[in-house]
Amino acid sequence: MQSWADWLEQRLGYRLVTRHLRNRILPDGPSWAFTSASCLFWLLIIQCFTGLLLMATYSPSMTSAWASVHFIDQSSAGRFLRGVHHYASHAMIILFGIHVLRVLITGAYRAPRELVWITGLMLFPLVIIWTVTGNPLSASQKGIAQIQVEGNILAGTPVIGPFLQRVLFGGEEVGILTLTRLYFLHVGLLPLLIGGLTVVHLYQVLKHSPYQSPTEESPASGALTYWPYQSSRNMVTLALVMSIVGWLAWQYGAPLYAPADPDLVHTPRPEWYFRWLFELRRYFSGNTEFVATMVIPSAFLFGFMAVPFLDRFRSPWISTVCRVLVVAACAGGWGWLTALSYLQDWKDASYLAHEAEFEAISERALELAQTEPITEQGAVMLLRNDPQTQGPRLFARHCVSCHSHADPQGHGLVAAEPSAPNLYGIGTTDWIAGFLEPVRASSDSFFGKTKFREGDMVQHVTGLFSEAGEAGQEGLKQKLRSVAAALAAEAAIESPEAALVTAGREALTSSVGCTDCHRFHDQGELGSAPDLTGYGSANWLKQMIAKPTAERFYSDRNDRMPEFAADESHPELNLISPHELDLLVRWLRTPAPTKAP
Amino acid sequence: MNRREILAWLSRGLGVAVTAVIGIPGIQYLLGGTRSKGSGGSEFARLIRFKDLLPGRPMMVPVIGQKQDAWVRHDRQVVGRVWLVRKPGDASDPTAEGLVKVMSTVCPHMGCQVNSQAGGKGFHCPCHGANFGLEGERQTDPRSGERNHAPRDLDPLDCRVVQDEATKEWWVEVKYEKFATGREDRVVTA
Repeated sequence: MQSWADWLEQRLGYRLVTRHLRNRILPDGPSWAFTSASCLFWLLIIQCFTGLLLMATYSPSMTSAWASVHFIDQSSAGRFLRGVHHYASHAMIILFGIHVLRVLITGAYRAPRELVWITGLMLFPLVIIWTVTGNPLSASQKGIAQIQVEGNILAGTPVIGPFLQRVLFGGEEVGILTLTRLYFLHVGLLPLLIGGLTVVHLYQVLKHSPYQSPTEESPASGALTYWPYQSSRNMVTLALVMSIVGWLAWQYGAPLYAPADPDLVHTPRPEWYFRWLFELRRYFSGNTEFVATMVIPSAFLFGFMAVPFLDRFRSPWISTVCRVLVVAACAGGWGWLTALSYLQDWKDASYLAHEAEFEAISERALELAQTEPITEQGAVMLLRNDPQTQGPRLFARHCVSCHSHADPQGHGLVAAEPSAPNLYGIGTTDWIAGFLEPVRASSDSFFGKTKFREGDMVQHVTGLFSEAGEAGQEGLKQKLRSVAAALAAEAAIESPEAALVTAGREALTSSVGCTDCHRFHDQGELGSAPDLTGYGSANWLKQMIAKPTAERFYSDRNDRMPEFAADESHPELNLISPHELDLLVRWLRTPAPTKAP
Repeated sequence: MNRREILAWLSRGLGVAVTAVIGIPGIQYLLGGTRSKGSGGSEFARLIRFKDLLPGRPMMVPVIGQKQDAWVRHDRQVVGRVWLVRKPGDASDPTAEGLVKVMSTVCPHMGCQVNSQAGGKGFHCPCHGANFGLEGERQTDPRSGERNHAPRDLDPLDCRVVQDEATKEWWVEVKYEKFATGREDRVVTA
């Protein structure tokens, strides 16, 4: 072993380099406080390494990015590696903050190390931009919404803002080129810049470190050289940080939110390290906005860079007090603004509800990705083709101004001013039975707020009950139950008892007299009341929603229900597309309607 | 100037020239990108039947159009969304001036999408809490008294109510445009 190493040394002379590293002597001896620097360096290497591995699978295109990230999460060790890459980026920012404050406290920026300090500070915003360009790469709604706002903030920079935004977006707005640009920045330009600056930074550190004579092979006995006295401490810190990062990656993995979709609306909030700026900008508005987003952060950066030139106090005591004050003010101010920002959101019930809804949608997307195939149209179709997701949203957009969809406990989509039947459980025996009971039929959950409140239907049912007299009440109720069952059989959401259905079909056309107004298969006429043939079935509902004014439904007696898809020859002019209508109806007909998000 | 100096300047000059040959097109290339052309910009697009617009109830409608996104042309895509507000009152003449107001849903502050406030009293941006009235005018938050962060009111869009020749139905049409966010004046971007 030794002879191999000697053979290599004679040719390469590598020990001259390692001796430089090993035999350095830190001015005040080895210290735990200095471990942040080496930990940052190794995290940088880990990020490059894990990032390189992720590149082996990741596909930077709007249609395939999300699916490829999901694929990574499914592949063996992929989830862990992506988790490490994600949490290590957060660890880097935390350690960077600690490192800067440590150098400030110890005054290690003093001559001749000004450039160590300045190149280090230049790395800080670059590392932040590195994570910012990495977050949206999964093409999740959250990431894309974040970069959209971040691009708009960038555009607010005086003079060069709009140009920078164009470089980032690859056009006027976020599009398919944006993801490629982010990828270019994240895996190409930024690693080059960060790597180059790191080399300059480390070269400066080494150049200005005191050495035990680097030409000597072995250190003088008793000298506390970098190796192994400082390096062992470094490795302990790195192991500690990596065990936290590794545990988080193992336990939780990196988050993956719902795929980006122009149909989804997400309220972006910045990551925790930007929360102080998010809070700060609340105190500025209009044209002064860039003060918060640009002027203040740059003032901090340049102010910090100037510290080595400002720190010219005669008395070391004053200098120490100043440095401690600056560190305390920065850490305190940062913490205070960050806490305020989170508190603000925590108090905002509508924001919390919105966030919970988005979490639920994201979870649903992951659930669907497990069972449904992702086609060449991309992961965006998972949620777009999901009745459980789209149903409530379509209902909220088109129906809830009049209809509610709320269970008996009042949960679900509740109209602000309900003026039409509650559609929860439409097509079920119990729901249909509601129209056949005078009290329920004229209640607000059915016809109460419509012009049918005192219409023929309610009057007819009321008439049946008064005709039946005291003795006939139970018998009539039994008969109406069978009618409801017969109609529920038309909807085919539930499968009512066959005997009940047969009895109901019989009663419908005879003693109950439904077919006096309604049509039911070959009995009765169309034109005076909705067709009961196939009542509540998918086709019936689709046609009803498309054109309630059709002869088959309410014709000219329609109350305010809009025609949602009346124009068959020009689907683009309709309020709702055939696909949307299909999803809405499938959701309405879900046997046990799932709780609305 | 001696030979040595001339050669030194020659080296520098040629170095700068070569850098410029690569650098200038490089910057041009990155800045250029593509212009994503929205189709709504120049012409009126049909949005919704006038009768489907309920008075006093703001309604959000997507604007469907053609969109060129880098190398892909989407023929039917949501190019944007608008809020439509129909003023309560007489609708015997749907074309009456100011009966229908159409506004972009894009918050002029940072470009988030504004939602309708509960009860349809106006609009609210969930990002930085800006409130707008039904006319899109900025309002201070009644609860916190915090002023609105938007630099201008919601962007009104050119709209008209026209009758379809074949079906005789009244339609609301809009000329959809996008505006730069974060500035007091309205600058069309796409």
